Amino acid sequence: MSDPRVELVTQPLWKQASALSSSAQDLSPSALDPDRELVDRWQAGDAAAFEVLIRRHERRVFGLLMRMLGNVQEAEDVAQETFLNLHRHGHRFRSQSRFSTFLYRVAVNAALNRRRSLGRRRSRTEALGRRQEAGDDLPASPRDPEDATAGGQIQKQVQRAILTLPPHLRAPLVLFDIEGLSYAEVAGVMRVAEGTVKSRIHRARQALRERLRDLVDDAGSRHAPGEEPR
Amino acid sequence: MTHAHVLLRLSAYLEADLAPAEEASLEAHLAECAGCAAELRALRRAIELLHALPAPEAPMGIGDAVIERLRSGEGRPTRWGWPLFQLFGGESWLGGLAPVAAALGVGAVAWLLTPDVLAPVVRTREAAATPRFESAAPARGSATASGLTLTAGEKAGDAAPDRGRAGSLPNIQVCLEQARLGGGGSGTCAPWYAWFVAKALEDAGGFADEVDRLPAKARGPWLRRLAEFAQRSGSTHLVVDGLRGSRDPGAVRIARRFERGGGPIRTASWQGR
Repeated sequence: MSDPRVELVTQPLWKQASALSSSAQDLSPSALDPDRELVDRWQAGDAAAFEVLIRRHERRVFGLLMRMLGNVQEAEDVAQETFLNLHRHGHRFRSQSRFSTFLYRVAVNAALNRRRSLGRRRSRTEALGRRQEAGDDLPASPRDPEDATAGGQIQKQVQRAILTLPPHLRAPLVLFDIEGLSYAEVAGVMRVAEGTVKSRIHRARQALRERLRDLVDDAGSRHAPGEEPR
Repeated sequence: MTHAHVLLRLSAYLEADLAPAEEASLEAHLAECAGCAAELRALRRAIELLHALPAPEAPMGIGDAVIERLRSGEGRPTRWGWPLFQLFGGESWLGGLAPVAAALGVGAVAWLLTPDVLAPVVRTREAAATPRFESAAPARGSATASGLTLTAGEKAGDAAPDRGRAGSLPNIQVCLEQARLGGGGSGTCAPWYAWFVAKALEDAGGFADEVDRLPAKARGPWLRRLAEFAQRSGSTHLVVDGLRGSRDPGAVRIARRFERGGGPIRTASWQGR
């Protein structure tokens, strides 16, 4: 009897997929959630399972929060708070959506709450944004992305531009264009309609394109729609 | 179609998210309007810059710190704070209706899509005559479609293909099952995706046929898996023709996204980055 785990590929793609779809009766998001078993164990009282979930997701949570907050210390603090909040309240998670979607939601909201908690104080990132709007404090903007040094400068400029976006535009942009979630997943995280997500992503991209115009416009000139390029 | 309308729809156009009639109308406008075409190029470059951002370097010890705090008694489960949590950051228990259903099945191979597993070596069509994914190559045989003996149009009951040349590839169902159980992390199943790409390179029409013969409910996740693999391995140009030739609108949409420089496609949100 051959071990199915080392069974050789002997079927064409369509046949394999047929077998897969017929064998996987439960196609709900949670059923195909790679975290499901760990979540079940954690909710059953296994603390070690939650620690595994932390290890598995800490980098992604931090990366998302860095994009949202732009500051290592803040991102680290909020990442910790995200996991602690999750532990406090996550036993109510019912696995009706994927755990990662749930975790994204907690992290994004924690980031937004962090900003709210700053009250009327201007955050460092907003100050950065103002300087950028004024054309101040920006690195040189070389157009050659192949230049390694220039590449680093461009990345900083892009990151700064992201941080100048209002949070309700920044979050969907980061989730869709950087984290690679689908429209539907972003809608699930943001708890808004999919159409709203599409609209916000478009507006965020347009705003970003404006802030990066020295990098993205055609060389030589910029022309308005309806005008012939000079 | 007015300039303003075109500008509003450029992002959706890049994501191949327009109805065919609107798309045709927009393309006709772009062909005539240099300004709008320039806007499209600029928007595409802005998106490319986003894609090029490296993942932030996570400081060491975030997980350790959280675990330490948990062990010291912080973060104890509570019921009373729940309404507040739900208001500001929690989960809606109507989440069963959440649109994440669109991601059915795709998280199952999250572990597979790590950059080290998918180290791309395919850069040009010439160089890709025999696509190689160094850390993911099968133990024996090549990663070309014929090398894996999976050909388009095989019917149920056909004689088993050449097992010897198939090397040590695992059954794809095993790959999926391992991922479902949270296992994996190795590149064991990556040759499957190398095969997808190689198949598209070798026989775009046959590739499209394979896609179209997949059961409808399995097709979407497979396509997204393939799309992510192609993006991560720098092989999108190899699969575009095959995807475009499919009768599946989802496949055609992915091909258009590749061609236009739309957003990235990720089948799994978390692991692997």
